[in-house]
Amino acid sequence: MSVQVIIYSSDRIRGGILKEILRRVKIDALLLDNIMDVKSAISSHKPPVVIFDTVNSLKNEVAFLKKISSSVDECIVMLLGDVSIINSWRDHHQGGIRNRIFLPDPLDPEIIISKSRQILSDWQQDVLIQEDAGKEESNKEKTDKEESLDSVASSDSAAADEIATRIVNHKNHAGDKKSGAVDEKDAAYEKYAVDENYDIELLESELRQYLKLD
Amino acid sequence: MATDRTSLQERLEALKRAETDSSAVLEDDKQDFKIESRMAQAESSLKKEVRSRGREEGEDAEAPSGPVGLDIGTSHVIVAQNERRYIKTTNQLNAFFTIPHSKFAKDILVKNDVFFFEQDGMYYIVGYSAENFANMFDTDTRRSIKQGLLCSDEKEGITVIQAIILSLIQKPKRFGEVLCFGIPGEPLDGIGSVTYHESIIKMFIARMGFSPISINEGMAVVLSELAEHDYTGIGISIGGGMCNVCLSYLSFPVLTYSIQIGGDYIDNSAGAVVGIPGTRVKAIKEKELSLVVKPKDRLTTALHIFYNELIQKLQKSMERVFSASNQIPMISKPIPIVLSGGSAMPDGFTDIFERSLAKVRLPVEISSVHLAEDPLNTTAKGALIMAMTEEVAE
Repeated sequence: MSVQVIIYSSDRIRGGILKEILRRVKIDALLLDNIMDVKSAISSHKPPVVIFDTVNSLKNEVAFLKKISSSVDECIVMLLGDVSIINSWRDHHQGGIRNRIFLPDPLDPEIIISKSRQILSDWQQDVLIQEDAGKEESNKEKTDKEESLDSVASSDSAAADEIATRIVNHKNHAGDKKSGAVDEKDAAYEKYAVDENYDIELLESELRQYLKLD
Repeated sequence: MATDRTSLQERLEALKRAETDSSAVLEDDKQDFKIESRMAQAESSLKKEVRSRGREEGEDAEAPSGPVGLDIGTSHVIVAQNERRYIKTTNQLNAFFTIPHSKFAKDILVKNDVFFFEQDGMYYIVGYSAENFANMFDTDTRRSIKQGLLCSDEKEGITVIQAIILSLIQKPKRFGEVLCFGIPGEPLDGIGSVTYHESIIKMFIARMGFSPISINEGMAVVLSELAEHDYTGIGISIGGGMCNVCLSYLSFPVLTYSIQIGGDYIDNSAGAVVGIPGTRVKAIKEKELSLVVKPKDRLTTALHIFYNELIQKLQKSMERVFSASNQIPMISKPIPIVLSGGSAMPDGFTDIFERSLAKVRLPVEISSVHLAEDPLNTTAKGALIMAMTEEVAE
């Protein structure tokens, strides 16, 4: 299973605590302490939640995280750290902070757990809705296909009947010595009528073979 | 601390998984017993009885055949090993005494199985033997570690500490066995270097053939005593040279520090007041001091006074450090404090600590204050647990 949360924290203890509190509520999280690793992890898999803990991060790292966060609109980004950094981030995202949650220090494990749970449950519901929509779509497609196959089958059976008749007629006209040509036609029809997946060309060639016309 | 980002809990769970695998195999074999995994060992070792003893004169050091916990304190060095039914700790006094080189003196030392080594024309008598000699000469022993850290004014400090460790353990039976040793938190006053202290000991232990890792002493107290509280609480080790404090949250040492005041300070201060050596005060203190009963003479009065001073300084430091920190997470439940170390052992110490705690304001609520089950061996036991879980993580 792919991770549900990616955590970035350059503080070993805070990062460890974040991972541990999520693990205890059975949320699978990946902890990274390097911004380049964060970038590559997010580019290969966008989890529902991304947590950026800016405590102990350098200015440049914070700037880089801001950049990354703009590229992950589909994820909810939780930003933790000193209130001054949180405020600067808020300003940076003015007008577009729908997917951002700002949680200034002190680190509050219970809020982080409850927010993460909420996001993941919403995300799960979205996935279910999408799956349902996908199922409906595929059911509809299936029904359409069946109907179309039925109509093909019915038109094909008529065509087969016609071909068989024509073939038999042809045989009769050709003065074939064989008797009971009509029986042969019926047999051929019965054989192919049960098969929904034939096509007319195959039918013709097989019918020809069956009737030993080729 | 050398735990990286893997929490203790995760390691313990890795062990649990190993145990489940073992159980599955046994089920297949239709055997009705379970192999005790190392996880179970680590967890059950928390409940095991600790059997402690001092190193006897003339006794050979042991070659460990499993993970080792090591507490290098200012006054004692303690080794903990996991035995089948109990945790075995062996301790040695961290002190030395020098006498000039002479054939006669050497004969006496050898004859009496005194633990000593020879260097620069002097005999270095170490461990409990040093204390006996100091009492005989009515003077103080010398210390290789002062105020919790390798002593810079005793040039022989490193050699002595190495000799003491070697008197307790030999090379491991299996090369690379994990040995976890306790290190102090950064002193608030900033005297001495924890990094230097840790590196020197690590180098020596690695040369012995162990894989050394370190753990903060306060954290070792938490590991040893606070399993039932999810390793969340405050562990305090009050030793000979310093008090180590660790606030742990879910097994992560959120805040660690030390103050360089401990049992030695009490002994020397009380000794200076009444005019007897600190080594003698220590012996009297360990034998008969109770903080519950009223002091009966000048020495016990002085000891009461300096104990109160130590408690006040410690609690004041907690108030300052905890309040100034932005590292402490919001902890919804009150957390316990566990006290350990030889200097926390006098009767009544815990009650006095708890009562005077009401006078300081901490940013976390305290649920209880209790004394560790075996205060002298708590750090060594915590280090052993760390070594056991580290071995599994590897």
